[in-house]
Amino acid sequence: MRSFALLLALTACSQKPDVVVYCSLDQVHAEPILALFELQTGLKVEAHFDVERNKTVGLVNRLLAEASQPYADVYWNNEVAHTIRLKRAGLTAPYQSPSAADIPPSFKDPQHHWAGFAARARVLLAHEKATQLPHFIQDIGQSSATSAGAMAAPLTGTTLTHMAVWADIHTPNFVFAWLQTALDSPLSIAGGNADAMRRVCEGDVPWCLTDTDDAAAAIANGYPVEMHYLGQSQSQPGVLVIPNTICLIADGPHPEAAKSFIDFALSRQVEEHLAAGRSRQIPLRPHVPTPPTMQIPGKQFLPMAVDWEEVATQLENILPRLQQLFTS
Amino acid sequence: MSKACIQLRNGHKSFGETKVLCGVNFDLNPGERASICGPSGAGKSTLLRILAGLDPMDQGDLEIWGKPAHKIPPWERDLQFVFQDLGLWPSRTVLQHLADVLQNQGYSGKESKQMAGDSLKRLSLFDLASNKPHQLSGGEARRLAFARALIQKPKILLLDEPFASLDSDAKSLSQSWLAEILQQSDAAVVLVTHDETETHTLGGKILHLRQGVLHSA
Amino acid sequence: MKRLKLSLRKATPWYLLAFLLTGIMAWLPLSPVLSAFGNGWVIQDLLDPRTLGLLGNTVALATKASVLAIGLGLPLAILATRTNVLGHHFLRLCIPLPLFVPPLLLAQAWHGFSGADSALMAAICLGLSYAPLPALFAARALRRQSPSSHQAALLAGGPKSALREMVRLALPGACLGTAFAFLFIASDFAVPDYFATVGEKFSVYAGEVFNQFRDQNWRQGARAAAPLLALGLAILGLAWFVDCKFGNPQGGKVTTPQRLQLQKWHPLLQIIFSLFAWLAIGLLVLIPIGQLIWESGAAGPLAEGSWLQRSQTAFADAFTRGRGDFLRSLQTGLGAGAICFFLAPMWARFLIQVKGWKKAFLLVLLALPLLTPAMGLGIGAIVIFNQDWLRPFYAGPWLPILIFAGRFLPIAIFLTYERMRTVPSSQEEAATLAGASFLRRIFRYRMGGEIKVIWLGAAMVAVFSIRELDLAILLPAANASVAVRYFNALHFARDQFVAAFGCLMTLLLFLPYMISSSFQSSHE
Repeated sequence: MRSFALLLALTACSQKPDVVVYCSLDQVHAEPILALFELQTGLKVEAHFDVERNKTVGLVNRLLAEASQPYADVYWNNEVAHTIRLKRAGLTAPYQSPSAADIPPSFKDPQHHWAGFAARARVLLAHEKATQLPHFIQDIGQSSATSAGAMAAPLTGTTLTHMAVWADIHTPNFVFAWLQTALDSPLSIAGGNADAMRRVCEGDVPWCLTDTDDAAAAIANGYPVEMHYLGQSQSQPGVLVIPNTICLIADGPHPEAAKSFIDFALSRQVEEHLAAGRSRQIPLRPHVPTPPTMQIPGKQFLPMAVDWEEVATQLENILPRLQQLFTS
Repeated sequence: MSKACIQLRNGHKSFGETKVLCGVNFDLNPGERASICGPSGAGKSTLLRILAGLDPMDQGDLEIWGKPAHKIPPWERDLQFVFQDLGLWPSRTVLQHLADVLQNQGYSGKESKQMAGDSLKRLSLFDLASNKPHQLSGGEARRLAFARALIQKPKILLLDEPFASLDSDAKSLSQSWLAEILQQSDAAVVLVTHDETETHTLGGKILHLRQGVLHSA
Repeated sequence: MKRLKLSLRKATPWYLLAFLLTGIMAWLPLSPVLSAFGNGWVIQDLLDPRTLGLLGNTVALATKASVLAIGLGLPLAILATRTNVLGHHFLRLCIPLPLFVPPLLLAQAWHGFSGADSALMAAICLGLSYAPLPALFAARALRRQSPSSHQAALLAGGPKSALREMVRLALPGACLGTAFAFLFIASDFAVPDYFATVGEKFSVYAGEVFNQFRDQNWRQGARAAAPLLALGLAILGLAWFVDCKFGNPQGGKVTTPQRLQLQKWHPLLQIIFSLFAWLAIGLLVLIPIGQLIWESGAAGPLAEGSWLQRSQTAFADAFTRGRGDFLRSLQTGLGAGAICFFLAPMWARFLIQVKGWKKAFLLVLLALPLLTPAMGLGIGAIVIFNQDWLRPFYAGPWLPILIFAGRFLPIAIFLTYERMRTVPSSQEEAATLAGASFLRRIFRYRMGGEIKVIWLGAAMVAVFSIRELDLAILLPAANASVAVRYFNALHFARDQFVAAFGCLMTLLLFLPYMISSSFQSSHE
């Protein structure tokens, strides 16, 4: 009984937050940004995170389940499609942040429900000694020469978004045919981008399709690997760039503090910080100081033009069949 | 006219298909002594457990101190029970066995320990006060079980095969010891046994339980 | 005051309290998910070839892993508990350790150590991860063997006969532990997913369930979970039946027989069995933990400093960044454990007096929160408790404590019930007649000599609560936890921080077990 009373004491309520942020960016990268916001504004942030295998889906499910009584004020996603799905579900509110003024229009919602910042590019991470690399992303898994590597299962995160982009610029059937060929090949299908990256680092496979942040982590850890910015195909030479997105949750408990946080997250300062950090997130606005090794879209490589609303629609179309394909 | 402390009419009890008690009638007056004997499996323990309120009857009327038994929980019947397997508490010391009972009756911790210690001295168990049941011999454990039952000064005492698994010398000693203890008590006592020779321990009436019915000797 | 004292003696108010609390923490959050079946679950879903194939994969994987778990766990329990293998005290302490390491962490350690992958490796890792469950149940049964029955077996046929008797005694309990292991393995998809990345591609049904939830159609997820639920109930029911029918009925004993002196059987036997036991512990504990410790200082070719310096930095970093999470996880785990410490004996007592189909129905009801996917339970909790008037409770620490307690309560109940039924009822009855309150009758007089099993149940609840990931993501106050931070950090390679944090998390998970061990009876 005494120990029970002690436990009651231990479970006393902690300080109430000023703003609640659901964040799908990795905790290790998001926490310094959140701490900086608290330092600069004096507002207390309560942050909730997701994990790799659930990526965006645990928190998205939570947002949907909480729709009648939102607990979150802001959703910070590490990609776009699920943010748009939340908008379509009526869970977001429009907010035109002054900080987003110089972010390119292609990375913002026309109705101001979300804005993009600090992106990742889809790249090939290859061992320094690897030979016979694919020339284009769409070559992966389509011949014996281009099947020695790995990619993440396109069931979540940026790989899923990547397939949705292809479904938009080609057709869904193109995507399924491509994937079927890849599955029938020796190409390794990893649990996530980080898994694929680890395989390259450990020498299991010579290369993998992953994001710049995973690739940057491998390089920072001293593994003998290199990043290759490949276009999709001969006719689609652009590199897919997927931004973080941030949105205001409709009827959230702290709307004004939420707007302050969104302004902060979309600021140059944050993009500079994320670019300099281990995740090497690519700034979307021009003239943000970046590390010398960082490749900038439009300067060192050509980015793809993407209609994110269409991509979000295609994602909903293709996901059920992708699940069937990868869990049979 | 004093109320009977136990009055059972037409008691029935079955376990599945097996009828154990078939219309048992039993009376016990205050201070009276009764021995019930019968072969193993006759239902003697079952009858005792019904009187104590530990098991329900299927059918019949039971009154304890003139009140319907179903209205009186076991701990309010002024009744104690010495179990066949003694029912000692493995984590409690000899002293604690008695002190706990007294504390439940409302005595303070200090008073309970004092009274328990006095009781143990009378029963020649004081040297074993800090021992736990697994550290006692069979006879010592048995005496502790009796002491725990008697310390509350119950008005009704039920003894279920109290001398089971004792050799003849130990049995004889235990019977003398019990008879001596009970002489100082005015409790009504029921003893059940499969051994008819044990019935002389109490004196009083002797009953036989055969085919689910109680018969006078 | 007297009326209060009298009511405290009656069992009914306490049973009602147990029902109410369990209803709030376990059944209420399940109700939205279970309502999915009200729309009519079509049997064709189950008979779909793809579904059958996935279920087959799951059963195959879980069976292989469970066979390994009992194949390793049962002999280890016998050797560590009842023989004089070298270092048997330390061996006994090590047996539960794999339970304190999340399976994915173990899987990654094993992959790092061996480089092996494939479905078989997934089964091996899961088997190793859950081997402590049959071992713990077997060890409990072995400690309750009466000295006389052991000595009779020795006299009847020597050490061989005595060992045979030990196996006979321990097997039913080990089967029950293996059933729990099977349940956890069948609902795990992270480890199979991890190993299926190179070579043989295989999927398990748990992945299908996860995908249905992931598609934000959680009702569909609930329906997808039904076959796993039914499978879990069947396995648990079978193991329960075996344990009840053939389990060790000897109870109330506090002295364990002497250890079997192996060298008296054959001079080399002590060495051989000691090697086997230590090899088993090596596989279960030493190699994965050692791998983690090594990884805390390992780095790529360009890394600076020595291994020790990097390891120290990693541990300092892990502690600094994670100490808030450690405290919160400990709070949640210990809170859930404390609730189950209180509730499990009451439920066990109630189960003893309930018979027949009522008992079976109640067991199913109590097991449901454990068998339902955590994501379904979490979403159900959100649907029920995310109300305006409940906002402080929804946002506060008590919601995860209660939900975790509700989910893992069946483990504590089964452990306690299994022991309580062997304790003579006369102990409790004597206390009843002596006027003891209901709680004292259960905790002091009936289970007084067996209190360590109640502590063990509470510790298991605490451990599984701290390890729980899906619920931690979904429940607000549980999100800042070691499980979320660890798996979140796993994204960025198996680097030094991840390895160090994994080690610290293992230590944290070991704490409830240490606490429960310190409160155990000193009878042994």
